[in-house]
Amino acid sequence: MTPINDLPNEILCDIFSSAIQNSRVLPEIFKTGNNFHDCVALIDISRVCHLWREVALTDASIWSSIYILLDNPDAETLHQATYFISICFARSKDLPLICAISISDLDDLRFAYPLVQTLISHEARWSRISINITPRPCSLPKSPAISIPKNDEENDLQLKDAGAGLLKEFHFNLGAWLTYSLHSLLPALSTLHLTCCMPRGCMYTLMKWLPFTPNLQELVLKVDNNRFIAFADQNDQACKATMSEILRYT
Amino acid sequence: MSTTEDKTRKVKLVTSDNEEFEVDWEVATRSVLIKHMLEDIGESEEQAIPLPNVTANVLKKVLEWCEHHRKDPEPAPESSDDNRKRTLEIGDWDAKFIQVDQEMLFEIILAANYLDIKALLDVGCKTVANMIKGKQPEEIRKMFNIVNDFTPEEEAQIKKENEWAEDR
Repeated sequence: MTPINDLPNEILCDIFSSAIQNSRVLPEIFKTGNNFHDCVALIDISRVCHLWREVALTDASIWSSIYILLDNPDAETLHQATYFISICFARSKDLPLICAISISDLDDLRFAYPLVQTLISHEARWSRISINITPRPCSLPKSPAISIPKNDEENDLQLKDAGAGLLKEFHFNLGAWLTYSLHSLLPALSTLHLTCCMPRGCMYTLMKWLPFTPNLQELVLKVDNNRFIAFADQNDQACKATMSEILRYT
Repeated sequence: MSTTEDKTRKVKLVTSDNEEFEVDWEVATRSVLIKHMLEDIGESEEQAIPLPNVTANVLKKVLEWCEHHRKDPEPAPESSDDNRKRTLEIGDWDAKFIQVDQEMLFEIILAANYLDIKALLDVGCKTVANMIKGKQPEEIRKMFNIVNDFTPEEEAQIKKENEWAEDR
């Protein structure tokens, strides 16, 4: 009998890719939703036996697409997810990254800083990125107290080149603070989806992005109160200045 | 590009267990390997093509697929675009065709790989991928009779890597 493990490694690899990439059809993944089971499927495959693990580890491409969905995670789960992401990034070698990170019902944005920091530490390889982090609704009881990092992490959570020439698609619902340090053009960026908590927030964030996105084809702005508010202290004067900046790019 | 002469031409194939098959050129050349071999031997109709890596029962099955797909257009070259659509959908006829036992399934995959029939290889790989999808490691091991050969230390390391996804 021919066992499955007699198949050449490249065929096993192709089978693994097919098994985990069914819902990785891009860029629709960011539009139609995703059950985020791909990462779990990848994990299951790499846990079957030595050979399968070796085959999976040698194919950088299956580690370069990362989908993480966490609902009301505690700090420990976020720590574990961050560890997993860092492993995936290492295994993906130098391939462009496709990441969809969705964390809902989070008690404090700072719990997600290490995860976002890990993403940003590989920003030079960003190709298609979606970051969606939403807070726990105020009406729900708080989870047990968790120690919150005291460092000034925001300083490490700022993009510099965001994939520069690679970044094609970017979705995020964090504030403009993430992009304060952005200083490189994003010539490949064709799709930008921003979620802000108020219209002027959208405008302010846009002002940060538009100068860097000369080839933008799809821009979606969404106002949603279910997001973390950080640095949302723009006054009316700043808002007026923002509007005039945006008009220059339209 | 095939000519009218090619389409009426017969090709002889000899399997590893010395069985000879005579098939239409159009059917045989679904295999890129056979197509190249035929190009190499030229017009010699008498010369049989040896296929030392394929047994008769597997070749019979492969030729059944080739016969059904004899009119299919040449497959497009593979795209490196990361937008390339990958789905696990298999056509109705192919799905029925590939309903075979595991041994034959893997033999077909190996034959398709050796004979360089990408579309058939794709059907085989997708079939196995569908079998794997959504299953736990233990279920996969049981299905394919695979031994869990990780050491306890490796198990612990793998568990640590994947803790975030436990019970999800």
